[in-house]
Amino acid sequence: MTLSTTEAEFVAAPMCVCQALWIKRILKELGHSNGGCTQVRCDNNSTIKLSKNPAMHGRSKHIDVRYHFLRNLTREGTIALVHCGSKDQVADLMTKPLKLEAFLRLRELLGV
Amino acid sequence: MMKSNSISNPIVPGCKANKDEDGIKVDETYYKQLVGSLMYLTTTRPDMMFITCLISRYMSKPTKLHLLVAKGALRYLRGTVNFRIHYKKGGSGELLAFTDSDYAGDMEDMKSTSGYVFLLSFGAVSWSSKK
Repeated sequence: MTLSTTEAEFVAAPMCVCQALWIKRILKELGHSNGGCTQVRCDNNSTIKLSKNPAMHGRSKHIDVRYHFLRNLTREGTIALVHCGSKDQVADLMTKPLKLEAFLRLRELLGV
Repeated sequence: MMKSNSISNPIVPGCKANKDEDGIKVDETYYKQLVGSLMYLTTTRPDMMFITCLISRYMSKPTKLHLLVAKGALRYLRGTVNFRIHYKKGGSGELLAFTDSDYAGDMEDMKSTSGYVFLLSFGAVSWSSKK
């Protein structure tokens, strides 16, 4: 249960990041050049800011410490949270019902 | 369902799925079999992920409303049977991740839905949708 959209995104991001770390390791094992920083695109600006700067204020003070491991990774440069507009946000397909145009465009981006 | 008309969107934004406790009950086994088959499909079709996730929430006591939504998914598949992920040559070869969440997407328990997609060479390689 989360109290704000920012927190919801902030809780969803580590799930994605864990998977990202695993995939990165596999790609490295396979000899696919990928030692650099992986971009994680997110459509919520305050989540991105929260991942960079440990701002402890009224609306974010209760967020569990384990979700803040994102900050470590951002600081190390393994992961970078980058903003992207809702237009290219393909993860929208996984979270909500979409209008037809949006659905078709994002499906195209997925490669289907 | 082999003679059904196809639709191009498996689920439309206005669709409010709920527990529908007063609805007419349908055969549970049939519904579960349907969900099971759709789940199998999500390994190759990321576009089916959300709808499968949605209908699988009502596997106990499914009603006509839920079956209708499930059949919407089948009608969508009717028109897109041969669709698959196409990985193209070229590109930077960099892994790209997308994450998103829908705050309080479920109107009943106000839980959020979170999802992610990983793209590699213009195709999705890993995806998840979770309430």
